Amino acid sequence: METTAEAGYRILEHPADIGIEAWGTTLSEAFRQAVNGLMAVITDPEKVHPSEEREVHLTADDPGHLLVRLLSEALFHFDAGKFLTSRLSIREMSGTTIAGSLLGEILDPSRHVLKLDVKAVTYHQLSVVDEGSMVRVRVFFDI
Amino acid sequence: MTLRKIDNYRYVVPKSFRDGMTVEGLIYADEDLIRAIEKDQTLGQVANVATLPGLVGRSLAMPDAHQGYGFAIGGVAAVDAETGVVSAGGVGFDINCGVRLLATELDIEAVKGRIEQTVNELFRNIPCGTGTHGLVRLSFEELDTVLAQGARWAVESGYGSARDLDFIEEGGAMPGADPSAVSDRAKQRGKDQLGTLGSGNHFVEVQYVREIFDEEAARVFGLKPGQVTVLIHTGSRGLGHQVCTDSLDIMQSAMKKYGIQVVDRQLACVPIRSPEGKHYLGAMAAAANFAFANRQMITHWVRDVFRRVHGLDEVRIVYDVAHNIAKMEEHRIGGVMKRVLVHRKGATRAFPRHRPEIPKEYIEIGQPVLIPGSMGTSSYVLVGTERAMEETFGSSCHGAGRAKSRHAAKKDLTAEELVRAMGEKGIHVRGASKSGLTEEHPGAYKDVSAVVEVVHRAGIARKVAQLIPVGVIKG
Repeated sequence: METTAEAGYRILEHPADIGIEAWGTTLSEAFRQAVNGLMAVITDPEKVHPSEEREVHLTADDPGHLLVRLLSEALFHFDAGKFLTSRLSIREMSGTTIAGSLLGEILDPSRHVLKLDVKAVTYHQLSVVDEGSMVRVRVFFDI
Repeated sequence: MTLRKIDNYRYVVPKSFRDGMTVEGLIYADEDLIRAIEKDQTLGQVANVATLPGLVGRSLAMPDAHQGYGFAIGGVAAVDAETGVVSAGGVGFDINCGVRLLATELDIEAVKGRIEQTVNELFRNIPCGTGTHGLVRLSFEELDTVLAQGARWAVESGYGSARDLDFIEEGGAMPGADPSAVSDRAKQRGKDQLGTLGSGNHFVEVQYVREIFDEEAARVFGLKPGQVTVLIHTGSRGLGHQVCTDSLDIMQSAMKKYGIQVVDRQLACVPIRSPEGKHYLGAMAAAANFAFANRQMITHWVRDVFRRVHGLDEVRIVYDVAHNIAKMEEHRIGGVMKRVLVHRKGATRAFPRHRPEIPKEYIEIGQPVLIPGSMGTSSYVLVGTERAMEETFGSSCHGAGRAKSRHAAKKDLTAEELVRAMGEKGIHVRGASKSGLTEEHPGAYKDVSAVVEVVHRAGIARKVAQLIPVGVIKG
């Protein structure tokens, strides 16, 4: 889960806020990196094995809405079922639909350290920008 | 055009601040606090709220205001009950996050030697921390009863007595709660989390009354110097977070249908009288009831500890207030009584005497307004005023307000240094995680005393008592 100029994420912070900026050469890659970023806020993603999956089928009004729905999906599986996502596998994707699965495993307190309790994904300063050679997304979480 | 100072504690955000503002903004702050408020996006958010359809009065911010999502934290906005909109972001993710104050008959001097044991027992007795399961696992059917009945469910299940309900806002059960409006997903998140403190800024604090500012109100609330009290701060956990997530999602799409445009997507809103508006308010009230039941269960476990450690039979609820909620209330606007939906996001109801909503024991004095401070500083009890009814839809501040990011706070000191520093001040601290502690250290917050002083001097609540911590458990 290396962050490079082509694909990656970074964590953004200011008072009472935590968010991520993620990027990739395609919308799919930027969304995959955004999932990695969310999980990096919650735990150490390196320690999560992709041994189980949770199906994802989402439609939305626009790419930003889709991103919030996708991250909310990963967050739901964690809070309700203790499922930590290692990575997102995408089968099909457009700007308003996504089909794929979240690969990961159930929290094992002996191996996984929880960092922050993310309550929800917000629409605050939400952005999905296609810069031509790069797609960059930004999203903030309520903690 | 920028802020206009009205007096030492009031600043107006004029309509010229931003296009589309239908009303002015009003911020309660002194010179230091307004400087802090100006540093982030709070002013812009107060202005944004002033663009919402059906807003009445002013878009308000309390002295503890800081940047939030959509609404500022510390924001209050009332909308016409007939023509206005309801905004899920105007309540926030932690629906009915709130505080409850318990009073014992113990004197701090007599029990100082047993505080550490008390804190350790509380830490053992109350599930807390990230991803913690509660001691109670509910079926969906049982959970629906919790969502409909709130604290009454908890009392009938053996957590406390019927008398407790008289000292909780709304009697511990919001009217209009609709469990069927709460999604299965929200229920899945909530069913194992009832009776858990959670993490972040949530806590249970053991304190004592250091100073009384208003003898009469303190007498009515049953508070006296030296008395040991306990403050519980938590909300509706994952259930409430999911209700807000679901509702924001619904509102994003529904806004188009109603021709509503917002300047910030987190302000997504729908007409109160629309099917989506009614759905949200039913789900929000149900989530609020989850929070009332949650605080009631934690109260039961606090009482259990005081019974075992101090042989105490009675620990009384002084009051329980919501600080993230939207409520239908009657307010006088332009000389006419009007029904409005008051959004309080990080703000406390502060009703004065003779309002029918407050406990009959307090009817001649007003409702207690409970203001938790940051860890290791102090908390305050205030009382609601007539002036709050005139200016703020009967609302006041809710806490100290964050001044530093969690990341920055963590860099200030280690968990060990914090526990030692607290120990030197005579405060025993137990936390479920090291980062949870350091992110919440007192330096990460504004000075609660300054916030309370503004509220008191502006007259939108009156100081009654100051509470000093001696022990705290955190998630």
